[in-house]
Amino acid sequence: MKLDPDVRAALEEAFVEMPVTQSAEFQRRLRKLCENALISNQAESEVRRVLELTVVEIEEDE
Amino acid sequence: MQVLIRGWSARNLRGGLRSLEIDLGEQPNRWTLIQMANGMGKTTTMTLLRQIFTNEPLPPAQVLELRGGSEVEGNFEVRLLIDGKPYRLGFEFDFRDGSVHRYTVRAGTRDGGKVPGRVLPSELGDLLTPELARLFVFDGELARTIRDMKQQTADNAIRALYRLGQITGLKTSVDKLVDLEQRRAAAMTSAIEERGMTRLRNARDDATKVKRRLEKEVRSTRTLLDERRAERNRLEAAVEERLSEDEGLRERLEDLNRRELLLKVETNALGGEALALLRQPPQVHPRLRERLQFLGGRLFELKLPETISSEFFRDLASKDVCVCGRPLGHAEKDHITNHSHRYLAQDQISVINQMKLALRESQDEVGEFDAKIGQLGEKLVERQSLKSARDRLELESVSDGDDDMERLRRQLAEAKTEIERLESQHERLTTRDTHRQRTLRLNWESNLPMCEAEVKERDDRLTVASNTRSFKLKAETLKDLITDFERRALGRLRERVRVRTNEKLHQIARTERLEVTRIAGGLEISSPDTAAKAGVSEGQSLSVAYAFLTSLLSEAPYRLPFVVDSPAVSLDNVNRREVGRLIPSFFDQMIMFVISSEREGFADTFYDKGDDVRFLTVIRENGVVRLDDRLKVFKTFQDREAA
Amino acid sequence: MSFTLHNRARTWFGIQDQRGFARTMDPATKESTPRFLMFDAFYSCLLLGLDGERHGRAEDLETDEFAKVYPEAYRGQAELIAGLLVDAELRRQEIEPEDRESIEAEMVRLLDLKSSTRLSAEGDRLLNLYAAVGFEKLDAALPAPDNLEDFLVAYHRLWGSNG
Repeated sequence: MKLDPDVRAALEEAFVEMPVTQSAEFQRRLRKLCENALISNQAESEVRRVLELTVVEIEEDE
Repeated sequence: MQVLIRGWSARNLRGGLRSLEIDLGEQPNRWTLIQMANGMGKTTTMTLLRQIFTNEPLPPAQVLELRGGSEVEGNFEVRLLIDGKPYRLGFEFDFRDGSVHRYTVRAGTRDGGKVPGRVLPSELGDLLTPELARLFVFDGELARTIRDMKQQTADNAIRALYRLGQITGLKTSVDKLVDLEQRRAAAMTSAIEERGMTRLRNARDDATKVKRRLEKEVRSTRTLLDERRAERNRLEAAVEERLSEDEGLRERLEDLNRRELLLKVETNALGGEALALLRQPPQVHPRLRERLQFLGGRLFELKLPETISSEFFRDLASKDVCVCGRPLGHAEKDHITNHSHRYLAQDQISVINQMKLALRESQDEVGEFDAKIGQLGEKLVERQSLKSARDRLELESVSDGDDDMERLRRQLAEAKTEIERLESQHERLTTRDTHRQRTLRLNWESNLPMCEAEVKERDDRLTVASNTRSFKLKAETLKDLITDFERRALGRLRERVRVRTNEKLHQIARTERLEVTRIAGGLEISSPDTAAKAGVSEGQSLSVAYAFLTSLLSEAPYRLPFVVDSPAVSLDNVNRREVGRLIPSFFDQMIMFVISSEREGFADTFYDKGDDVRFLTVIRENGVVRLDDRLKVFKTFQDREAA
Repeated sequence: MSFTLHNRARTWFGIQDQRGFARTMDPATKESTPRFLMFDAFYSCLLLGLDGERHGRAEDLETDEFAKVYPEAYRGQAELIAGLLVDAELRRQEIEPEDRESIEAEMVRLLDLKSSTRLSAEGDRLLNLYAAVGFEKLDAALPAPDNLEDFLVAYHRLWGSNG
């Protein structure tokens, strides 16, 4: 079930407001995850994947 | 997804619900008005309808209160169409102990397909929470609380319908994953917190510092070695030069050099040849050859590796007659089989045969190793004598009073000693040979390869810990995103519902000047006439609630029926008409319980809608309850009881 | 087969980067000098050991093998070395030359055509032990040489003076 247009717009806005820009893959996967979550169709591995795709600001570690 | 109610039935429940069957048809009408006097079980019906959709438990007290007569069991069932498929959800009450069993029947069959519990398509099942049920099986109480800004009624309604709680649930999943990851990493290191990370990082950095130091030492040792070797070469050349300055010496020197070079080549060649011969055991010494020959001979004489093999014996044991003609009895056969393992197998015979062959092939080269070593020995003697000759040359020039030569030779000796020392140091720093490392008692602080391994290990530990840490950071980032998303989604949905609600409010006369200014927990209403919160009449309140609910439910992704009890009783006639005109058009299905006094102004707006409307009147006569579906009955019915 | 050196052999033979007499070798001469393999070190010790009538001890061996099969340079010698092992074991146990049964039993115990060494597992094990005791003989008799030629000449002399 596709996201309600207002809900989808909210997600897109939230993406824009993130301190670090995320990849297209991340956005696509998260959008799908939310769609799935709304119909109780999400899996833990899906959440994990989105988590892995999340980009954070790397502090010095190198 | 669309849900429609096709009807419901009650049995053995109190009030007018002893035996009630409401049938709204195979394809239910869009609107149904059920005229039912107060006290006939409307409230009970509404409550049960609400509860049957959700999965909440029913307390025994409630169940016992439902009891109608002396029967010990009762039933309430709803018939639905979910996206066109028929479903039946039911309660079976046991009045002896107040227990209740839910059941679900799918497909059209009466008795087949019945399963315990509420079994709905999963997304619908999750959607139908008690909060939501109160919206579409409308609880009049909501109309009061919906404007209370201190409560969360309006927001909860939005959240419930759009299932925003599922999004919140994602954050819980994220937390669970982080916890799992931390547990996993704790097996490798216990340094997830900042303190521990710093410790690991410092340890890694310390090791890296040592590595740099060792690398520097290696470089400087190599440099020194090169320098010393160059120096040695230079000194050797200088010595040569000095020798060659003297005419007589020079010739001898050149001769020496030539011979040394030639000797080196010859020595290398002989060494290689001798080595090749060494690698053949019969060459190394005559007695090795003799032993092998003796062994071969012995085996031949003992007829050992002949054609007799254990396979032969086993074959024999399976026959009845021996090769020599004697019959073989049980005992003989047993003996043969039991002892066959002591006899050589084909394999072992082959080894011996190959050994003999190899021995025969090496016959021609007898004594070659001795000869080669002899020659090599001579070369070594010559090497030594050339070295002595060189020394003599150098000494000659020294004893000639050549202090320079003396100095050069001394420096050369020093350089050679220094080179040995540096080579040893270099080995300590760079050897990868684990045995050598042990022998020299090296550790990661004195040996570069061991240090590199140590740095890598510390770095790995740090990586695991920081991966976990970075995983945690990702989790925080993702959760922040989700929180922001939720907030924005709610904001947008609130705004959308607010605007739609206002559109409807403007169309209802008594509320046309009312406006929802914001939705934050509850609906904030303002009016230019009165201050906000004050002076909104009950009628207006109800209209606002309807306007909000219809705005909410009509644009949701789930199309649910709207069931309402006495929708218009608090409204005046003008409002009734408007509500009656406006609200129903927003739903695919609406079921309204009305009392006779609501007919005027409200129910009558439905009279001209033809087949889209069904009118039912519930009549109790002489203790018996019956249903009449004629419009004219509906129009004229009068409750006996007061409204 | 797990060919294993005596635990002091590497040092004695100056093994570095898998060749002998390399620790003190001038880098300039490395290319032209014949290559003395680790296996050559093992084999030199082995022959000396098989010449005698004693095993070495498993505790004196290194923990890890240095090779699993005979190198190319030793192609064709496996059967001969196997024969020398049989001979050594016969002598060690003082088995009479006429004792057919015992000789046969020894061959059954020690030989296996399927193995690349032509020896059974027991045979492989004994090879390492003989090499170990051979090293001890070498170490006792000679100072550690620092080049191939000196070693070869001294080794040859050792064979001459033995036996």
